[in-house]
Amino acid sequence: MMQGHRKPTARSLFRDQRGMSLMEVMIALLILALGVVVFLHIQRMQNANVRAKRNMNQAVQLIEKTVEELRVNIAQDRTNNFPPHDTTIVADGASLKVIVSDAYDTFGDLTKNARQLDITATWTAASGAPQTMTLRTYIARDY
Amino acid sequence: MRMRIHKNAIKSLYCVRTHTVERSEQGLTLVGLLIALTITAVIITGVVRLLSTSLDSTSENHSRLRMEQIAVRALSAISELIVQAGANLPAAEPSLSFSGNGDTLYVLRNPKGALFTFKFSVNNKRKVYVEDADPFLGATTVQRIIPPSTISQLTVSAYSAGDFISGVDTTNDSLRFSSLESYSAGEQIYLKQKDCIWLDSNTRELKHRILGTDLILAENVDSLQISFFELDGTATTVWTDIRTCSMRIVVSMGEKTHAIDRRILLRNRAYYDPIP
Repeated sequence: MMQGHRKPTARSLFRDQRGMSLMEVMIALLILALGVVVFLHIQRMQNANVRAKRNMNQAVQLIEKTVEELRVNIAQDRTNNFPPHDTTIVADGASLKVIVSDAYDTFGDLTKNARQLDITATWTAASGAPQTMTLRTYIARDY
Repeated sequence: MRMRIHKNAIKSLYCVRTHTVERSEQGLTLVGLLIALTITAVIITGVVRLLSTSLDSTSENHSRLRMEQIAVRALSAISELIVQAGANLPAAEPSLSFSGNGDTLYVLRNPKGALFTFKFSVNNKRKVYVEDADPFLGATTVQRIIPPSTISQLTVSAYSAGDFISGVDTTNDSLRFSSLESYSAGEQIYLKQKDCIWLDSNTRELKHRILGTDLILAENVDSLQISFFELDGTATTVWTDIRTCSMRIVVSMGEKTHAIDRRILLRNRAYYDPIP
């Protein structure tokens, strides 16, 4: 009546302790390697993104600083420092090109005391590709 | 006898079979196992080091980016305020510095002052038309500046406490003042807004005039220095002479620090040049 626990035979014992085959080990290693590779790839992409953001921040910072310095210079000497000249500035791993051109009012008339500035920051991304950011603004002097 | 032979045969067979199975699945020897373990340990160490380096690099980049963002945002917000400040700059000791580690910098919600020029006068002297009345909504007091012909004739008169702006009609873009003062075309008015701030050199804080919820502008600020100058670069504390401002902010995270310098030109100021 009672269902007795079957005594393990030597055959079943050996089958249970068989371990993994070479193929199974290789598949497990492959999965592990894939996981590591994917993780490293994600990490690398994250690093690249953060570096790109830092570069962009620095470019914005550099552009703002340059424009503000130009304004201060013009205020200090509105005769000799206006209009500003085209310049190229290299700082913090970025190159900044400032192009000065005439400015026009809403009626299309040339404004005497204002100039248009096109500022382009250029830097190299981690991938080696050149990156640029351009800002157009206007700069004026007191009458 | 027959039975006995039979049992021995089975036993013999069993032993042979067992021996065969054990030999085919005997596993690694101790030396083999040690070598395998060593190789595995070397590989795992390499992988862990690689991952650790990668994580460290990411963390380092993130903290640097965070520091730079804190510094840029703080400096931009302060610049924006000071650029528009004009009339309410501190009368004395405008230089400000933080010296602690990880100071928190609180800042105000609104600029402390703004300049508006009345385009024309109207018959009803208590009602003045402006281009945009919305900015006046937060104003509690005004400062009036009458354009002088020379710097020595500069006059700045602030209204008394009872002469607050009494209301703003934004529909018609006009202002009504409780003061019975006459206003003329070309007069300039500085606003003092509710959320005005000033720089307190004693407590080394950017202070809020009305107690309320302050916005945290930046954390982990190690130092902030603000100095004001005349156009020729001479340091000054006289607000009517202030034309430029130099700022330096240092932000730290752990042992790393990041500093940004900026020089700005104040846009709003009392007119001391002759009006053309």
